[in-house]
Amino acid sequence: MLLAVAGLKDDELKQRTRRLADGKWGGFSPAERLAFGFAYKLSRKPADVTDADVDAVVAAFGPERAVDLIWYVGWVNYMTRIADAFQLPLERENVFARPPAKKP
Amino acid sequence: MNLVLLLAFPGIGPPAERFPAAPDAEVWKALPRRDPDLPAWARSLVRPLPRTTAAMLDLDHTQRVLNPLGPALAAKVRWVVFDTLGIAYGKVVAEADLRRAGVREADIKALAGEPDDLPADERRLLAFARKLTKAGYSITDGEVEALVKQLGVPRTVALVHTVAYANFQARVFAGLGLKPVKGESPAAAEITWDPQKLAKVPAPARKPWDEVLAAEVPGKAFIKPDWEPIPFEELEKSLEEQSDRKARIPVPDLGPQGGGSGRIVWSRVGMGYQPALTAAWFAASRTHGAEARMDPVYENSVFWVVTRTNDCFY
Repeated sequence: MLLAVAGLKDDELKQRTRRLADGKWGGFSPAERLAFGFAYKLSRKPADVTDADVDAVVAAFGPERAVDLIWYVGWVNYMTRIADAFQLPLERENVFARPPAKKP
Repeated sequence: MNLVLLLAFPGIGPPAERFPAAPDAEVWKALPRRDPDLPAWARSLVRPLPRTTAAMLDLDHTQRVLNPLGPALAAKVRWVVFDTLGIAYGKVVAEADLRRAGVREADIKALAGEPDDLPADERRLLAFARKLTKAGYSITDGEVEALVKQLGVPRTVALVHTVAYANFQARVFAGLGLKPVKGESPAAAEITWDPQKLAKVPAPARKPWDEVLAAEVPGKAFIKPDWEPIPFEELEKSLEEQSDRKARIPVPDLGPQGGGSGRIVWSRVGMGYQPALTAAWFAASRTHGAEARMDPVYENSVFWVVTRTNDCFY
């Protein structure tokens, strides 16, 4: 749903999800592939993240965007712990979309 | 006339004449204060994310000092999460909090021992914290039901938010490369910000997104996931099943006060049962969003990768 909220149309969303799901991440830019692999490692085995891993992200993204990525990966790990613990159902409608404006 | 009254009743008159009140600025100049020591993560984050760092310091105080579990149990939960993930810096901070809360050294050591060494009422909670950290997807209905029976729903939600917070911190600490420094574990401080001045603190400009997309990356830098491939159709089915699930705890109705959050199940659970922990988390999230301004498609692709990594189909 979040990719739809980000502005992808249905066919774009399906195509991107397929490419994300295969784990090879073909068709993405090198920087995005780097970010996805880093997000994977930081989530799965944070203690194994090396200086070289972080240096590579900083080289491609700059220090500020590298910190943004680290922070955001942490953020998703927070959100998923809540969702997993309580098995929260996914909303069927786009709950992030603005409700239609009321007619005067 | 006034002069006559003052002469007739010398007790009447502005006290300022006898004991002149100083303006606040002069008072603070005369009474030196000490700024609280800051944690290493705040010192590393303040340049790229100044306002987020302020919101995180508030969040940290809420989680460590005001936590409905109490500071000692909250620190034990965080310690267990950091231990599960091998984050030495986080363990040292949690241990310092435990000592500040008056927890005995033997009880701190017991955290690293066998489950039977732990107090009976904490065994289930701490085992749950480990499991939610390592394999949250495998938590069962029965495990949550047992926790709710022991703690009640609001404290169970507080426990889960505490586990979640430590999981967030673990990634930040690891990403920043923080190592424990002996004797350097400041207490979480309650800080009063000047909201108007803080709102004007600028975050530094980010590298232009076009340049990021065009960046060359050496082949050895790529990290490949060990996922088993999942056909797209199977993913869609999992999402469909998740939509049909019933939450393990009642999802509160926030009513008109809930605003936009009232439509989001995640927010309803957090704000309904633990508004202080959730509001502090939302404040940090919103501030980070405003400062980082990540490309939304890239951002949500990272979200997808992390949820897939954690086998969480939320």
